[in-house]
Amino acid sequence: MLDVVAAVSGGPGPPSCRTGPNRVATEPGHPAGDEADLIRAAQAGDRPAFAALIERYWDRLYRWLCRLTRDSTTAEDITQETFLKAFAAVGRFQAGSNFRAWLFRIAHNNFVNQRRAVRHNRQPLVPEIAEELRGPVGETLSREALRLIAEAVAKLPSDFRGALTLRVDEGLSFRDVAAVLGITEETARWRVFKARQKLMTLLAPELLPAGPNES
Amino acid sequence: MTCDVARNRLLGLTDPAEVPSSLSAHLDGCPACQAWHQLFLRVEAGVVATGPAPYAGRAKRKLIEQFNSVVTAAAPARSSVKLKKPAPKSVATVQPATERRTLGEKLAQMWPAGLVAAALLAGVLVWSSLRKDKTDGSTLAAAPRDEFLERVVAAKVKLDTAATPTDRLEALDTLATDIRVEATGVALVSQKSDMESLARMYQQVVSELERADGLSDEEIRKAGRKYVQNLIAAEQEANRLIAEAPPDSVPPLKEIAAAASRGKTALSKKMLVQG
Repeated sequence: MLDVVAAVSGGPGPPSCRTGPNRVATEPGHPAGDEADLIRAAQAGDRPAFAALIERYWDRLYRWLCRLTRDSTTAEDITQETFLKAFAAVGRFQAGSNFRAWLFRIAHNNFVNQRRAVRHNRQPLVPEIAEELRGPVGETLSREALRLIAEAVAKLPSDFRGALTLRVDEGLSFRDVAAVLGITEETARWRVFKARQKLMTLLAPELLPAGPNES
Repeated sequence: MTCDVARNRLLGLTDPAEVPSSLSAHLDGCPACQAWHQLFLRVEAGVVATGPAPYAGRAKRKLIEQFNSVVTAAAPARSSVKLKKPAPKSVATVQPATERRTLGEKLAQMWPAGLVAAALLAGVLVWSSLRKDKTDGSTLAAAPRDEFLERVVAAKVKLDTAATPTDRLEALDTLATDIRVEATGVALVSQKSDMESLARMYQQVVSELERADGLSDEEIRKAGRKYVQNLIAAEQEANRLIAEAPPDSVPPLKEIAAAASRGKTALSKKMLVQG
């Protein structure tokens, strides 16, 4: 049994696709109106406006693609390709719809194409773990526990992993998860449910303190 | 409610931290499910915490600079958006299209001018940099050197001062390669007018190249193979890009591929005939 409530000292995060404690900054400071202006400008051919959208979404897109591909170079390539395709297609983006979901949808299509191309060259399953983790999670989960979680997430089928991280990491609604992955909302809910179930099935025996289990 | 049912319902929640009253009643009376729920919350937090570290590569900055520098170089834009957090080297506001000329237009004007003196070309560059400073009060960051324009100017000077037909052919080949590399490099992000101008320039240069004016049979045999190889590479690269380029860039890329193909055929025929 591992100690779940072990304190972990803070430290800097590691490079590239290695796991890290930081979430990408999201909407605060970037009101929706601002983004709508940028999108409209990009649709009119304003490239600095699109550059601002790249600045805003690159990190979170890259992060999600790292989760999917488990390879930082591939994730970087797909991220770049996604923005180029998005720029080429931004004129067709419908104002008022979810730009992030639209962008992630393009990224997912690229990921699927990439996976099809390198089907026989699978990436290693076990992710690297940050040397040290910061923040409240680092204080409540031991490094060993986090390693187990990272391994368990990496073992999930990519469809489940993609849906789970969109919901948990990106905070997308089930509806937007469905839009990104091109599936129904029910299927999105089911994939997140199954991903969580698989994680708990794997992790509970290791991480749950001994004691009464089920009533 | 059994523990299995309660746990499955917890797994299906949008936010597992917000437990509905029907479930909290079970959790209140079941320490095992309470512990399980606490672990579930920690695992979700752990999923976030074990995500990839922030991006530290250079591709992001490079791409952003590419989008910003294209405009700084000359590309027009129709809107005017004040960026709250401009990236380094970014342009804060964009001029209306009517006030600016594209890089392609600038080059297209240079090209048919024939033998242009180096001093005049240097003047064009100075004018170009001054023009950038006379924008509508926008905070232009230090404008990057327009390397392509400089390469074209250098090639043109070399062309105009070529001592022999062989030197002239070599300069044409260099110029064609520079234009093609620029066109294929920006095909994914460049504006239609820029791509069209680059394609026109490429066609003009290749049409001169394929004539191989003034070269002897022996010279064509010696040098022709290299130029044909370059044209084949140009055709292949343009054709490859057509599949992934935005619709506006496709016709110019096709023109480049077609020009390269014509040039390749014409030069090859000359080599055969004279060989």
